[in-house]
Amino acid sequence: MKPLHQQEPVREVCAAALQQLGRDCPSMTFAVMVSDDGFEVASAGSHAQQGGRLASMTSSMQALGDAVAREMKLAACDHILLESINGHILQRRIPNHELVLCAVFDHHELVGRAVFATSECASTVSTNLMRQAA
Amino acid sequence: MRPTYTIGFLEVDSYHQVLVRSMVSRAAASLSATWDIAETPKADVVIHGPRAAAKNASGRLNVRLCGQGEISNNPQDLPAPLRLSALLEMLKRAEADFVNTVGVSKAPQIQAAPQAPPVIHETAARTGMLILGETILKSLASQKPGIIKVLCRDREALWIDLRRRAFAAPYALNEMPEDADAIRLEIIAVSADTASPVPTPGTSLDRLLWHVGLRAGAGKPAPWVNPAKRYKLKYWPNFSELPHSITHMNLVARFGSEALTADDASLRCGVDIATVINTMNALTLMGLLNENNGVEIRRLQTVTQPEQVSRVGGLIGRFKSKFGW
Amino acid sequence: MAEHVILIAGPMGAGKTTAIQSLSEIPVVSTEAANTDRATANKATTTVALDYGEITLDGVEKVRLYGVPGQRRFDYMWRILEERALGLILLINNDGQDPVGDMLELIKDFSALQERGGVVIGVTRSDVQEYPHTSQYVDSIREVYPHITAPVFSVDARNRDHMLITLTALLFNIQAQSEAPMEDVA
Repeated sequence: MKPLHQQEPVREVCAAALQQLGRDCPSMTFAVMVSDDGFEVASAGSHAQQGGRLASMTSSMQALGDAVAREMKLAACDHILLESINGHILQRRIPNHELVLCAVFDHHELVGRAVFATSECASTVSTNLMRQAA
Repeated sequence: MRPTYTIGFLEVDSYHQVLVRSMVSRAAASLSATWDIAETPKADVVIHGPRAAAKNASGRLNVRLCGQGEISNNPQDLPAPLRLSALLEMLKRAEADFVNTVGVSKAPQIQAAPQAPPVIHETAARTGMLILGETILKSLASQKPGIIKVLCRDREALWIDLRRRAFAAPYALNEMPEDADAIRLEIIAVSADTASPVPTPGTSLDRLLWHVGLRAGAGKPAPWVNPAKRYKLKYWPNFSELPHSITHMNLVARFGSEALTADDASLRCGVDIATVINTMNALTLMGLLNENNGVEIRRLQTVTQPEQVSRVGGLIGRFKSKFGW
Repeated sequence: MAEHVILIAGPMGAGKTTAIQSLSEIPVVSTEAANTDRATANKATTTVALDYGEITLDGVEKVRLYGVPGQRRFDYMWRILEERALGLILLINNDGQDPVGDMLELIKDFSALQERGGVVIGVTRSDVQEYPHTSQYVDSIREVYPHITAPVFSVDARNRDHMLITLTALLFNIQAQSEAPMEDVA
């Protein structure tokens, strides 16, 4: 079986969800969906050329988050929020799939809204991929 | 006052260097000068190997060692095989020339290390291990490395196939007797299609050379090592396949970072000279340690990265305590 | 509390995580993800950030062992982790497509660490793939980097003794290199 990032139906589902996320949150500047081991599956936004690098970093961050949560005897890491002066980055695991969403927002976006919107996006991807597999 | 002259070598194999050294030592009483071995560029008499380029002549007297089977009409050449009489004649001729041209005794050219007088190392007794080491070394250096059969008392034969740099021993190497009388060697000539007595893949020859080398001199230099010369490591032995101590590792690292004599290495590592020489015997037999010909290393008294040295040195010490090395 | 960082690098599938598990006295912190790149290494998981293990000396002093991801797309982790490192253990799997080339490339990638500290090469999986022999690794290093005398050992990353030999050789090599005088051709 082809790896996730080379499966066209998976790429289409992810690309559509990322486009929708961009429409829901105009302050989203860039988003990428990556496989657990850091390959870009789909991306959207104005910094697409950085996708490869961000995909690898998303994978590392998610794995570090998981490792810390494991060390603290917490459940698996659901999402990671990185806040900076000019914006924030939110990354989130896609339930039941070996995929991670990473979305970059500028400072106009409220954190709470970003958390909610990415959660919706992750849920949509998960549902659509399950439906597709069925 | 007895003058002192020096002999250097240019592209002369270790075997012949050892041979010249031992001949000079035996002939000392017949000569009117004291003859020492020196760094080649500074030597009075430079002996050139059969293939050394004549343009590299750098001694006051340059002589050439003939190759095996070569017949030379040049009276300056040393015929092969090298005989004591020929060497003696050449050295006497040199002594006469030097007196005629200079007329005064010449100061010794080997500069002793300023810290300590040179140590005279006794040569090793001819044990079974030493003879085996020498035989392997000479066979490896020959045009056609072949097969060596090693018979030890009533044991089955240990076979060495130098073509494949492998051996097969029917017993543990530690059980091999070390005295000369207990070991009998047979060198078996081979052709291209001679079958190997060593089953594939066999054990790496390095394992045997390490074992033999460590025991060949019993703390004294084997004939293939000159402890007064500086040696530099070509590359590390594969320690994951060789029984070794932490001291061996320390010595190997030192020889890897600078060219050292046996005494230098002993001082640098704080290791007794016998262990240093045993290790040098083994590494040289394996072809991992080379004489540092033609390159002199400037001695520096200061360490180059003192913080790193104390940090790593302390760390190694604590590893030793923890793992009981 | 004194800390010493040793980096373990090498291609994907060389045994870096296993080596840290062999050496570490604490449960290894690993960041493994499902491996989708089966063409490069046919294994279920791969390290995407770091592996971390420890050896404690004298009760308080620690040797911190960091394994970095093998894939070049994670090379930012190499740069982050090498900053504090004392030396590098480079593990190379002998059954890779071009193991000698991989080694030469990685020595170049970690040249700053090699020059500041030192490097030791551990060739793994030579039980699976006999050639190239360790001597070919040695010859290549001597040809391409004649100033480096790096130890090259054949190792089994699962074997604690092998990994300890590798680590010890690295420490001795760093010590000897840092005490060595400047070479000066007379």
